[in-house]
Amino acid sequence: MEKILEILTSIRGDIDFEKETKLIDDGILDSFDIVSIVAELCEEYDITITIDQLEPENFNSAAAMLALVNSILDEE
Amino acid sequence: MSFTSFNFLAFLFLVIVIYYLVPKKFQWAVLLLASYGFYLSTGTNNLIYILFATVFAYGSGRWMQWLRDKGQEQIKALGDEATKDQKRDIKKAVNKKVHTVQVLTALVILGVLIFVKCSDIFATGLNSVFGMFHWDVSVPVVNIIAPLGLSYFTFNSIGYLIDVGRGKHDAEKHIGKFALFVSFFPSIVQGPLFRYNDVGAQLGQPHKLEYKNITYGAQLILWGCFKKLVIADRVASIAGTIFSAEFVAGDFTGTQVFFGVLAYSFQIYCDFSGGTDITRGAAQMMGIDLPVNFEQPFFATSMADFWRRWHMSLGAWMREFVFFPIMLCKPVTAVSKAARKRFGPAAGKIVPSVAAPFVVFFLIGIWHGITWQYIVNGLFNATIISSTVALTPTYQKLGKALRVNTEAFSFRIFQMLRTFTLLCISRIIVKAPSLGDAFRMIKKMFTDVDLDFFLGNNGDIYKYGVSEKGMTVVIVGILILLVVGILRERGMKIRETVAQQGIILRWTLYLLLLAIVLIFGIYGPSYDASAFIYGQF
Repeated sequence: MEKILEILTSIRGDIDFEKETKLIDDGILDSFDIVSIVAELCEEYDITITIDQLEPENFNSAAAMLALVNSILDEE
Repeated sequence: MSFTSFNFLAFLFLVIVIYYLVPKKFQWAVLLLASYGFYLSTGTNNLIYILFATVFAYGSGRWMQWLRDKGQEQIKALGDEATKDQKRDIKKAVNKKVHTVQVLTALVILGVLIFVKCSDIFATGLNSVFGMFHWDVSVPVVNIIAPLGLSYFTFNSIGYLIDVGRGKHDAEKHIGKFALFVSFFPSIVQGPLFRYNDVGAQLGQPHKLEYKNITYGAQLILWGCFKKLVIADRVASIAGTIFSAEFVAGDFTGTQVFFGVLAYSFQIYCDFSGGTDITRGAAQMMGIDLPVNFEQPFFATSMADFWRRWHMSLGAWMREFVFFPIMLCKPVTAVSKAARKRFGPAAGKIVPSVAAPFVVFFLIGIWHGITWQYIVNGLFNATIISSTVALTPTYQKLGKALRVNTEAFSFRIFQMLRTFTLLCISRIIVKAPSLGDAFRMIKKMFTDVDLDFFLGNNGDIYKYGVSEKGMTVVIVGILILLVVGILRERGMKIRETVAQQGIILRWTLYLLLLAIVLIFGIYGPSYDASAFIYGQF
């Protein structure tokens, strides 16, 4: 979890990622942020996140992003 | 049949009465018949296009579903002993086939749109090439009149195919319900665009008569009529005069240009968002919730913010089906990765952030029309948005160095005015008679200012088809819009708030708005209310 929080804070230092649970639904992250986050996650965990996985529920919170990464790692 | 005509309102009333009278399982059929009836009233030939898109998209969706189901059966047949690799190989093979069907079908459906919109441009281009080589051949230049809503049902169909291809939802089995998704009459003229798993599913479901849906829907229709008839159609003559070839050919001032673009900005907003309100209101009366298309765009603090608030359903479509696929495609991610390694994380973000807006806005430009003006306007918007992303760290440093309080209200006003100015430039680019005229008008707007014009000292302001009294109506109308906009920005849900008031206040407000629309709306035998600006796209 710490690694994810570190990545997220490096992209948007102005957001409290530990508390926010509606990052997409409330429009806190924009599409450029999402792309940066996806690129960083792919790089850090050596995974591929596909467009199908760009669902709001996968990016609404740091925990959701961690769950997404873990599910991809499990599949791969 | 215009949305603001008596005929449409009577048609809508009749459809809603029948819709709630028939057994619920046939409600979709009433809407389908009404949609085809509405569409036929726009021209019998138009039906061919919509039927083609419907049958083609339906067949392809079913085909993709069949491929997916077959893959699942293969995995099932392997039983518990199937390895992860075997399952992955089957999924991969299925995805490849689905992808091929998806791309080919989308290209055919999009091909029809491109052919209809651009056949004359291609033919003229080809003929010039033949002429250059002195070949004695020519392609006939045929100007095909685009059927109403072609872009909308094409984009909705492509969105459906991509979603089915991605496995987001199953393909619709019922061709009648699918046909309704493609042709739903309130949204066929100017959107909003919607997704199948959101609106398509609602269209096929039964809906019971609810007081709230009827009243809220009627209020939204009335609000849409207010925007369209009281403001948009009243100021239309100002923009029409100032952006005419005759006017631009003469001697004009920059202030006149600003007046024209100001009027046009309100006209296009009230016309388009008013039309969408009528669409959403009509749908709500049938218990169908269509997506919001506008969120106070004039309160935007940047161009990117503006595009998040303006024609939101097209923005969402572009984000989902163009922006993300580009940003996450292998070549872009590879370049981004290389840039990040070579020049640091900031550069890694800049490369795709610059590339994607150019493609998106180029496409949005083309969507409006293949003319240099729309293409230049698309590129202008993309340049502003890309450079904002690229220069954000610099702006932040500059702001800190100059001790600018970016949280202050005055800074927000500055941002809104800056965005509105950029928007005015963007509007002039497409509204001017030609690209050359646009550049000349933009230059004059900033260099040739005549304040007396706006103060009304020389009476010039009333020479564009809006009298002094008419101007008062427009200003009061815009003030009402402004107050409602501010309340919405603060999170107030207007209709819910009004509904909580006592019966006297509530009905006074409804009747007042109705009276304003009836008394101050622009009507008349020569008046063509059918000309919704976005209907042409």
